[in-house]
Amino acid sequence: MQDNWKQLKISGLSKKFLRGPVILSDINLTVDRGAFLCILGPSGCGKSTLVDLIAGFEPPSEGVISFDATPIRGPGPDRVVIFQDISNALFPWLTVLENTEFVLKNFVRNKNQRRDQAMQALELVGLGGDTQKFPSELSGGMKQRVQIARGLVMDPHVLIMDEPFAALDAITRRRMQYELKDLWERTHKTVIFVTHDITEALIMATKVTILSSGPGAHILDSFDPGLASDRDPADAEFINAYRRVESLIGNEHNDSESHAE
Amino acid sequence: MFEQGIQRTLVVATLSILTGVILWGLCSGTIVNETLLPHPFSVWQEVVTQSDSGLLWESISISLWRVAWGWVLGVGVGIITGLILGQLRSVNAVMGPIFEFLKGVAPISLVPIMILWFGIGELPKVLIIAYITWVVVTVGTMTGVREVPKTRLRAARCMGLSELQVFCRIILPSAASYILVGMRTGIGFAFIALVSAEFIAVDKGIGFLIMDSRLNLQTSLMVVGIISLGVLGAGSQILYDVITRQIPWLSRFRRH
Repeated sequence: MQDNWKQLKISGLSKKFLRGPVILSDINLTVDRGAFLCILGPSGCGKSTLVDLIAGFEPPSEGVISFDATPIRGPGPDRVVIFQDISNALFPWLTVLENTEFVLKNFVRNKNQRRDQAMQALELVGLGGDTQKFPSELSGGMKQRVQIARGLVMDPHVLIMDEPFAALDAITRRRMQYELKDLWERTHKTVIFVTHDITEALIMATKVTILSSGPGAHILDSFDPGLASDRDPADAEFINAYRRVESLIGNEHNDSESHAE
Repeated sequence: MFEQGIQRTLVVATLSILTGVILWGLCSGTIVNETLLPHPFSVWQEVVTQSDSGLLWESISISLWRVAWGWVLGVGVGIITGLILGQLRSVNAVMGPIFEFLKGVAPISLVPIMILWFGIGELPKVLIIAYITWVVVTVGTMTGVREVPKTRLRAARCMGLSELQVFCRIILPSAASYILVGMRTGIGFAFIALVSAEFIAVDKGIGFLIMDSRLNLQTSLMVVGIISLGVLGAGSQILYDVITRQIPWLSRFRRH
C-alpha cells in the first residue's frame, strides 16, 4: 500500500445486485488527500451502497475504485468505516481502551506502545477519562467518539463515515459535527462523510457531492461550498450554499415529477 | 436495590413452595388416597430414613455422576459442532438437515439402540444424557455464531483481521453469551434425560429409585425421588450461575 497517494478515484462505478434494480449508475468522483468530502443524498438513494463499495464490503458491478492507480481490493485498514449502527460497531466485551487498542494488535507489537497510541487517540476525541468503561456504559455520542478514536488510531488513508450521527439526538449531533470539523482541522485526515442532512454536510465539508434519488442514483453535482472556517448556519454565505444544494435536489425532484406525468 | 430484589425473590419462592406443600398435605388422605399421594410428613420421614440408610445419598451421587459426565461430554462436543454448523455454510448444508432430524428424537427413544450398541454399563447412560445436552448446546452455539451483528464483522474486516482472527477474536467472544445460556439450559435437559438413561438396566440412581418404588408401591419413596430430581436440577443451575458469576472474565461476555 503506498503512503504517498494523492487521490482516491472512483471511475465509472455502477452497482446492481442480482435480481435487483441498478442502485448506482456511472459514479465518477475524486477525493483529494486531506479533503473532507460530504456525499449528500436522499434516504434510500444508495449512499450506503456507495460506502460498501468504497470500503470494499461489496464488489462493484462496473468501474474501479483506486488510490491513484492502485485499485482497492476488499476491505482493508487503509479505509476505516465509522458505522451508523452505534450499538454494534464496538466490541461489547472490551473496555473503551481495549476497543481502541484492539485494532493495533496486528500492526504494533509493543504492548505499551499500543496503549500509548490508543490513549492519544482517545484524548483527541475527549474520552481520556472514560477508558475503563464498557460500551454498554456509554452514551450514543461517546460510543461514536470511541469509533472515531478507533478509526484514527489505525491511521487509515481515508475515514469513511456512514451517517455516523444519524442516531444521536439533535443537540449531541450538532456538537459532534463541530467536534469532528475541529478534529479534521487538527489532523487533516481524508474523510468521506455520507449524510442526508444538508446543514451537517455544509458545516464540515470542503467538497460536497450530491447524489440523485435512486434507483440508478448518479451524481447531480460536486462543488466546494467555499465557506469560511467558522461555518455558522446563520451566516448569509452558509444560507446561500444551503439554498444552492436545496435547489439542486429540488430541481431533480421536479424533473422526476414531470417525467412521471 | 439489588439485595432487596434477591430477598424478595427468596421470600416469594419460599411462600410459593410452602403453599404447594400445604395444599398437597390437605389433599392427601382426604380427596386422594394416602397410598397414591403420601402425606408430606411421611415423605419427610422417608427422607430421614433413606438418608440414614445411605440409599438416598448413594442414589443421588451415582445419578449426579452420570449427569455430570453426560453434561461435560455434551457441552464439549456441542460447542464444537455448534461452531462448525454456525460458521461453515457448506457443512451446514449437508449436516443441518440431519441435525434438525436429531433435534426431534427424544432421549428415551434412544434407550433400546443404546443398549444394543453399548450394552448396559455406564457408557450408554452417560451417552443419552450427553446426547440431549449436545443438541441443546449445539443449537445455542450455532445461534450465537449466526447472530453476530453484520456491523461488528464489517468493523473487524476494516481492521485487516484474517478470517481466523475474525473467528477467534470476534465470533467466539460474540457467541460466548449464547454458549453460556445453552450450557445452562443443557443442565435442565440433562436431568430430564437422566430418568430415561436410568431405564437401562440399573440397580442404583434416582431414576431407579422412582421406578423401583412403583413396583413395591412405596409411593413416599417415589415422591422423595421426584423431589430430589427437582432439587438437584434447580440446585445445579443455581450453582452454575454462581460459578459463572464468580469468574470475572466470563462476566464480560454476558449480555449487556
